[in-house]
Amino acid sequence: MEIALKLRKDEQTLIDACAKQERWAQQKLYETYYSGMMGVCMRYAGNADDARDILHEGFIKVFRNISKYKAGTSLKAWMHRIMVNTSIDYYRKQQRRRTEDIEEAYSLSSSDVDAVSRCSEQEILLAVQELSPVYRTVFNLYVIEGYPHKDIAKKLGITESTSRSNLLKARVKLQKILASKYSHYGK
Amino acid sequence: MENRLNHIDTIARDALQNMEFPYQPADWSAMESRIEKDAFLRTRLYWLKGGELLLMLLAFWVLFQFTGMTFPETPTTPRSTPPTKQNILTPAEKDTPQNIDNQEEKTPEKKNKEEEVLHFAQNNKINTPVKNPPTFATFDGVATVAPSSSPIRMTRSVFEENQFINTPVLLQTTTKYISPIIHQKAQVPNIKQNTDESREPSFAGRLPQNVVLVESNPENNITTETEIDPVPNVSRHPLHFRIAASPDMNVAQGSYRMGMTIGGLASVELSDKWQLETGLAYSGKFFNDLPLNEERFPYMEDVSKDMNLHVAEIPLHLQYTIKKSTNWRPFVSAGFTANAVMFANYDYNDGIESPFETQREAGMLEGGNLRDNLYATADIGLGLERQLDKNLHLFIQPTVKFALDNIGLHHDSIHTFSLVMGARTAL
Repeated sequence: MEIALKLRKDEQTLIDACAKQERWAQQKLYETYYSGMMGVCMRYAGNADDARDILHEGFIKVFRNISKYKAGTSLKAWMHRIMVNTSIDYYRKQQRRRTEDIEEAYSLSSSDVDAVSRCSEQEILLAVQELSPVYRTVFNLYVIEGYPHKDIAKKLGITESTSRSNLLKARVKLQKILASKYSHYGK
Repeated sequence: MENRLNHIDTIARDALQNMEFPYQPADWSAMESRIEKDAFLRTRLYWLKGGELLLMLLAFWVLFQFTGMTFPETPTTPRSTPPTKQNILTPAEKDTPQNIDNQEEKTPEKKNKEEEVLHFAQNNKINTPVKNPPTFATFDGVATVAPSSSPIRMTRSVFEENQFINTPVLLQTTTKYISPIIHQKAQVPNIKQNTDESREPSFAGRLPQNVVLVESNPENNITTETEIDPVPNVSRHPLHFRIAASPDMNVAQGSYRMGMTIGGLASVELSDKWQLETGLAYSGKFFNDLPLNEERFPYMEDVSKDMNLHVAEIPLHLQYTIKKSTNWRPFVSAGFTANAVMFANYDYNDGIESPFETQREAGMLEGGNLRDNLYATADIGLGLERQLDKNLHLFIQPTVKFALDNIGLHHDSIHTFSLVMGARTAL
C-alpha cells in the first residue's frame, strides 16, 4: 500500500514538473513509457522510422497537454490513447497510398493457418507493417485496441461497411503474408 | 473461413498487444531537438498572430479615427498651470500695462487689452524694465519666452478657449519666426468671425479672419501694414477615399494562379508628403492542382488539391508622395495587411473527401479557427496618380504582397502580385 502511494506521489511530481516544461521530467517520462508506446506506434507505422516520428509527435502532444491529465486515472492509458490518435493522424496522411492488390488473397488453405501459428512476434509485426495504411489502421483499431466498427468509421471518416470490408481484407492479406514468409523460411 | 480469420486475430493480438521495445538513448536526443523546435515554432506563431491582431486593431482604430465616427465628448477642465513668478505680482507691478493680462479676473472693459498694451507702448515708446520673465501664449496654452529685446512684455496665460480665440493669432503663435519689432507693433484691427468651413472644424467660425501687422521703424518713422492669414494654409488631416480593384497573381507552393481583389480604402494626410491608409477589401484566391506542402506531407507527393479561398483584407499602409505636380502624383506605398480567410474550399485530385481534419480546412465564418485562417503580408507598391477633376483622381499601383506566415492545416504561404487600379476622392 505504502509503495503504491509512493509511486503515485512520484508520478504526480513527474507530471507537475512536466507541466512546467522541466526537461529532466520530460526525459524521465519519455524513458519510462518509451517501450510500451513504441510498441503501439510500431503497429501503426510502416517502419521503425515512421514509428519513431509518430512516437515523438505523440510525446509532443503529451508534454503540451499534460496539465489536462486527470490525476487518479491511468497515465499509461491516457498516453496510449494519445499515441493511437496520433497514429490515426498518420493514417490520414497516408490514406492516398491505398493498395488494391488484395483480391487474390481470398483463397486460404488450412496449411496457411497452421503456418501463421508458428510465426514469431517480430514476424507478425513485420507482416502488419506490410499492410497498407488503411488496412493496418483498421486492423489495429479493431483487433488490438478493441474499437467497434462504428467508432472506427467515425475516427477515420469512413463508413461502417468500409471499415468491415477493410478489416476482412486486412486479415486475409495478413494471413497470406505470414504464410508466404513461413513457407519461404521452411524451404 | 471465418474461424481461420478469427484465429489470425487471436494470434496477432497475443503477439502485438503488449509488445515493447527497448529504450534507445539516441532517440531522446531526437526528441529533445523536436521539443525545442516545437517551442520555437509556437513562440513564433504567438508573436505572429499577436502582431496580426495588433495590426487589425490598429487598422480599425485608424479607420474609426478618420472616417467621421464620433465618440461622446468628455467634459474638459481648464488647464491649470503651476504658479509662476509672473502670476504672483506686487501691487506696483499690477498697474503696469504689460501685466494687465496676467490678472486672471478679467473685466469686459479689458477685452481688447492687447491693443491697449500695444498702443500704450507705441505711443509712449516704453521700454520698461522687465521684472517678470516675459511669456507669450501659444496654441497649446503653454507660455513661451519672448525675445529679451522686445520692449513689450506681454504675459499671457491662456486658461479658457474663448480667451485663446479672442487673442490675435499672431500673438498666440510661437515667437521664434517673428522679429521683435513685429511683436512690438502688431495690432488687430479686424477681428471677425470666421465662417470658412474648409478650416479645421473645431475652430471653424471662431478664429479671426484677418490680422493686420503694423510694422514701424523707429529710426525713420515709416509704418507698413501687412494683412496676413491668421490660419496657416496647411491642410489638416483631410480624408481621402479610394475605391480599388486589382487582378492578382497569387503564388503558393510554386504554383501561379490568377485571383482578384476589390475594396475601399480611407487615407488621411499626415503631412504634405505622407498619408496613412487603411480599409477593407475582399480577395478571391483560387488554385488548381496545387501540390501539398512537401515539408509537411512528405508521404503525399503524388497528391494535389484545388484550393479556393475567400479572404477579407485589412491593410495598413504608409504612402509617400515622391513628387507633387499639377496633374500627376507618383507615390510609394508600404505597410502590412492582415488577411483573414472567411470561406475555404479544398478539393483533392481524385475527387474523394478530404483525408484531413475538415474542421481545420474551414474558413473563419465556417467555424474554422483563427490560427489556421489569419496571416499577414508585408506590402510594397509603386503608384502613379492622375488628376482628372478638382476632386477626382485615377491611379494605378503595382504592389507586391509577401506572406509573413502561412495558413491552414497545409501551411500554405500565399504571395501576391497585384495591379491595383482605382479612383480617389478627397473630402
